[in-house]
Amino acid sequence: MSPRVAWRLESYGFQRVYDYVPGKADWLAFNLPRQGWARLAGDVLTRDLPTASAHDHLGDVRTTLRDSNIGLVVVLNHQGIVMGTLPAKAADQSADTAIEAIMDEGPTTIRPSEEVGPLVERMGNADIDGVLVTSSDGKLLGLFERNRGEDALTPARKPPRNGHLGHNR
Amino acid sequence: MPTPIGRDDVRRLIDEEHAQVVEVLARPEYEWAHLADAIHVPLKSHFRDIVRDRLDPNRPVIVYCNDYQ
Repeated sequence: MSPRVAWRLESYGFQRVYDYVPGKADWLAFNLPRQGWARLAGDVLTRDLPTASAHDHLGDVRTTLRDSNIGLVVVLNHQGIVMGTLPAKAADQSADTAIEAIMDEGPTTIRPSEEVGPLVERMGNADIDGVLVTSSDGKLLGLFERNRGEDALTPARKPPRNGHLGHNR
Repeated sequence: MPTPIGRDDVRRLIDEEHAQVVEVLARPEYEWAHLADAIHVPLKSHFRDIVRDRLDPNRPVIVYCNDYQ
């Protein structure tokens, strides 16, 4: 639909008309600034998660792993893409163990554009307390925790009139 | 011909060139969520009037819908 509108604007004399082809779905999947009454996973993120590099060895991250308040460390590559997770129990292995060899590859992730209500319900049915949130290109954004999602649903459901949700520009 | 752009260009045009952002979906979808400060201009009757009232032809305009479809 947007191409048709874009062409019509040009026909009305607008000189600089752009078509954001990937659209709203793309914007929301990157947790970019928005307005509206939707309650999305990106609004309820736990950020600053403990992370490690895929090239690290266990000795490099043992302290981080033992201190983790989420029971794991997220393993990232040099671009911040999620490569796997390392559970706290791995801390007992030898220091020269390569992270890449023992991490859990391919953890479940969701996009920040997921609606909180259905997500909380699914997580409750599966008895899952938290799930990693990444942008569409796989970059770590944070952790969605079910209890925080439930809290976010508690206030009055009347949609807000204005206000920026997500990151400020 | 309208120029197809991605996310990074949208942000640059908004921040640096004060682009107007237009969502063309139906009102319920717009109210559910829309790009910050996007104007709702549905493709329906009185479209030209809405454009005349809400958009500045001297500023760049970015149009979007839900995704590639």
